[in-house]
Amino acid sequence: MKDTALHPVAADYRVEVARILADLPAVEAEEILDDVEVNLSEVVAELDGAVTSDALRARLGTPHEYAAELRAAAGYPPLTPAGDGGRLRGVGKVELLMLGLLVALGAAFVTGVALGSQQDSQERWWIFPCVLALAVEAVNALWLRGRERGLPEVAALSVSRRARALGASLRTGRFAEPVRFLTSLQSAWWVARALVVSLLAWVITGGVWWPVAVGLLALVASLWLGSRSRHDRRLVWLAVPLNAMVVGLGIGMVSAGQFEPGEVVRMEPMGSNHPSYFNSWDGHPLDSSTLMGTLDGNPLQNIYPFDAQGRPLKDVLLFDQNGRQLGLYSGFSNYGCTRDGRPAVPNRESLPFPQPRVEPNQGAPGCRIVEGTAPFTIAIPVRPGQAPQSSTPPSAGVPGNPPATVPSTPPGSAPGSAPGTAPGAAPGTTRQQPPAASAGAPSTRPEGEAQTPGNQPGESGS
Amino acid sequence: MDPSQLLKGVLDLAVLAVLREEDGYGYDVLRRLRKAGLDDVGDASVYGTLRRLYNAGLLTSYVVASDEGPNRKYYALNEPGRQRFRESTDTWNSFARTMSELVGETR
Repeated sequence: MKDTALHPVAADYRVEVARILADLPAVEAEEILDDVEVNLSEVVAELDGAVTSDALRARLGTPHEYAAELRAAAGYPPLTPAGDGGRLRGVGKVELLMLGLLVALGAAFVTGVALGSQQDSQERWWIFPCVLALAVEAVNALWLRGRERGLPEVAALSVSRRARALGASLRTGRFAEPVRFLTSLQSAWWVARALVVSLLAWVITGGVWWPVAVGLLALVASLWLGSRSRHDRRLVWLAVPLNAMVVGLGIGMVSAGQFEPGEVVRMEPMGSNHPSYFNSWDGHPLDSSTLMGTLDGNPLQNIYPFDAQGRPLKDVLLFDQNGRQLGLYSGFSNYGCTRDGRPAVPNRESLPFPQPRVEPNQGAPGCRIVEGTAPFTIAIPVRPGQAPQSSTPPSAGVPGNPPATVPSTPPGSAPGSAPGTAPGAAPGTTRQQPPAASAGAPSTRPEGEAQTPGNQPGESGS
Repeated sequence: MDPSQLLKGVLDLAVLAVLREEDGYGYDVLRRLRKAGLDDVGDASVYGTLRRLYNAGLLTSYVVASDEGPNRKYYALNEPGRQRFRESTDTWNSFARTMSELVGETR
């Protein structure tokens, strides 16, 4: 059997040579050191027992001379003057680089989780880990600038060597099959991380084009980074933190359950597990059976009481025939404002009607509460020829006080329903622009053209 | 005149010439070069040159187990290597002729 153990003196010599070749790409250094080892074992055999450090040096020159000759002949970059003496400092730098990678990884992950779970909130604390990650990455980039693609100094670290050995044993050992399968998923991951970014764009914007555009861009960047970082190990310092951020994003979005697009529509929970949301105005628990849900299939989002003169009422409480207070299952969209993040609408089911609306700020993050004034005004229809003052109410029994305006719908076309319903006007979605009243419905008008005299907040009929 | 300086420029050709005859591992190539009269060639120079020629795609290599020590990495000329050898030989011959004439004239 062959004796692969190198003579101790030769082994020391080899270590010295290896030290001076440590800046070479790992694979190249390994190969050339194999040759050096063969060379040393041949010389040891030649020396025939009289192996001393001096004998070796007499034959081959000092390790430094040998390595310099090797570098010159092999066409490797010559040793820089600082190359040898500055070695210890170099190791320190490499270790800082690894530390920088770890910090960037952690910060990017936290950024991802925060961004993924908080993107509808006004809290923007994800900015802090994000800034930290960017700052560390900037320092990393400075360290990496001008280094070789293969990062031999990193590959020479014992931790890298151990990782490579572990990888090799995994690829060939008992887990060879699953490991090979996982490795084959790498390209799929490159696509998946672009999808996560696209999903985030969808959750934030709610549109179609932004997610598609962002997703395509992310896909191109992801594929480029993935294939490029295989050869240019410096890109690992970009790819690993980005991966961590994408994983964080995924975890954040899943944990927050925020997969509704755009202006996140938050229906208040209607289960017994959230009893606190179903409190009556005076604090007593509200019977969930009295919560009104839908009207003609559309969620009932608010109720705007008007008096017979068409004046909006404020702070109206509604009760059924048994004296139970009526509430709403679902309120308006809160436009990304959390319940506790300002502003928010607590216990919207039990507020007096009309309930306040929450609207997104125009051109600014966050949102504001718009007090409960109707986004439309109403005109009470009167019969032709009737003096407004003496009018009898329409069949709904509206008292005969006249509205100050002439209805816009032709007389007689108004059925006897209660005034003030706004067909299809879910203010949360149409916002200030209810569709034109359908034929036969009581007339409703967009605010701009309405001439109803009422509409003064504070005028309360009850 | 220092022969090692002269050797630097022609070591590639010398190594290619040795390998043209027969495949060889590093130490074997070194021995053959020395046997041919190039006494000043250094171990590291030969190993480095083999490595550079291999990296340049002029050589192939294969490993043969050895009874006496570490496995031996054999190098062999491939077609680009043979092509390079022919070109280098032409260059060398022309250069040597020129130098001989020059040295002969001025003597």
